[in-house]
Amino acid sequence: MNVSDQNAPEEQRRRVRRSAILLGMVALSFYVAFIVMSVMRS
Amino acid sequence: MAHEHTADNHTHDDHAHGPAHGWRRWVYATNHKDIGTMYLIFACVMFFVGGFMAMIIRAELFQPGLQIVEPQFFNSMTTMHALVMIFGAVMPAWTGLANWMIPMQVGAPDMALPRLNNFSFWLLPFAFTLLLGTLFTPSGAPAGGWTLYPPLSLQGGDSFPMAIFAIHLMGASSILGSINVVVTIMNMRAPGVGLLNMPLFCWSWLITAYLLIATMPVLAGAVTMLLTDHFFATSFFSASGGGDPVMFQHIFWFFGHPEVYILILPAFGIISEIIPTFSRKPLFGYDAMVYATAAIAFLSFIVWAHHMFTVGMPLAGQLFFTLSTMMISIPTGVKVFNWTATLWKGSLSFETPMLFALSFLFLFTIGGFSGLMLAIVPADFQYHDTYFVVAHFHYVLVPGAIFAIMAGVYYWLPKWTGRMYDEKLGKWHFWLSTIFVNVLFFPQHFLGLAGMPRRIPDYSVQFADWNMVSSLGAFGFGLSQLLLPYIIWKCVKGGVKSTGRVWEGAHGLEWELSSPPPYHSWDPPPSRELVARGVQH
Repeated sequence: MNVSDQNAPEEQRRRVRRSAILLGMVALSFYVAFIVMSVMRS
Repeated sequence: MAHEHTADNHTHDDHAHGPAHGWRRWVYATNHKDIGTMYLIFACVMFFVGGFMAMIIRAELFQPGLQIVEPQFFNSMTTMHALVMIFGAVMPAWTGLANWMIPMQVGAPDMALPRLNNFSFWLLPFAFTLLLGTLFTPSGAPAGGWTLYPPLSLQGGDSFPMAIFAIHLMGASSILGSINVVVTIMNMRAPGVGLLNMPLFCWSWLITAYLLIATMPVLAGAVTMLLTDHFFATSFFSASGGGDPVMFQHIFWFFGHPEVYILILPAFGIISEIIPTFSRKPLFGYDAMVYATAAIAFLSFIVWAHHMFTVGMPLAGQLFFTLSTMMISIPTGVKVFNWTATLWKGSLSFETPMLFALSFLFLFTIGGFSGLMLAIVPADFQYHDTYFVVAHFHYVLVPGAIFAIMAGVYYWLPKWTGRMYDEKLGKWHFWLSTIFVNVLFFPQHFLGLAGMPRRIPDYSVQFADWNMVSSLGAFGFGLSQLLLPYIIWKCVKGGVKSTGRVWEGAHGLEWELSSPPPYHSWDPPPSRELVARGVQH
């Protein structure tokens, strides 16, 4: 998706915020998942 | 013609002012170029710190016997050298290059999250103060290897929690930096800059950023569990409490192998920019290069156990990890073929960035071949933990990753500073680096094949000759790197003024800007005509 598709800067900001939070959640879930997996195993 | 920016292009909301003055410019920096510069300076400092540690290692190994340092300190040096070079030099150098180039290449005014960008950078000095501070603790710096295998790493004394906290900070910095890269590329591209026509440096960084987001938390999880094993009486990795130290190795290498590609994929991107420029031809097989990069990233998640064949695993496991590792050579071979095909019948010229790129092409391939040898289980049983492995990964990381960083710095330095570097000195830097890097690392293949173990301060006299040669190469390589900061300083202070395009064969949006580029690169975004001219594919 590039800038031409995002007429309003506000929409772009929302998109940026949303994808940043989503990626942060993905990173956090990898962190938690590996610890939980190790708890289950040990 | 370089894109002209005028003050009336901007509104106050767009921060159309110049940089702040004094220390505030750097401490409160939100501009991608300022932050990129800080990353690159930080990486350069860490390169010399890590390099100094390497000099200590090679000085001790110059002759058999213990001459210069205590064995414990020697082990600290091998551990710290790796941590500093991986997390302090190579990764921040890539992030610095990403900060500088990605907004300019995709036609964005800045990174998508400038304040987060500032935070990502400023975590690093704290992380490395902590890490290097371990050298001054009574127990000494961590000495169990950068892989932090328990139970050895758990015996680290005062330095252990400091190192673990430093690793958490480095990981947080990398994850936040990667989020910024992904969000910038996915949301900030100018009209006309599509995913399949943006520069390969952006593509390789996009894939690298996804790798980082998926794997750095895994390392963080592993070291968190080490910390709880040490201080909170858990037994994740302690056999006496029902845990499994081998599980740490699995988790570590699930991070560790993609980490290798995190260090090398941006190099592929840079080489894919430089070779077409100095061959004066479009890159051969752009789409194949993108898919090959993605394939390498995917495969990097399913090969981790080739680092630990010797712990013992079922035959099916050995076969799976051997074959999956060998499969990586297919997309890598596609890349080497495409770079060579780009060179074929090109109108070649050999400026310093091209020389480093060609050296990368030959020497990285040597590192790749020795990697294939290590993928074969019975052979790996012989090579494991020998200097052959040291030679292999240094061929990948020094004439691979570091030469690509050098190539990128020489390639874009005139764009960043608006001045040309001294080409003659650049060539001296190249030739000295290339000669000495081979004198340094090639004999280590022979040492490893003859059975010399890695991470030892003393060795049998049969290994003396090649160790002396390797150490001489190390001193030569280390000294020749002092040329780099001098060349950059000389360029900034008094280089001949460069044009916007700099290199006659260069294509890409960054070359449509003036040299040096305006403080806010693309604000307003480039026109479609400009994008069409800048796009090379």
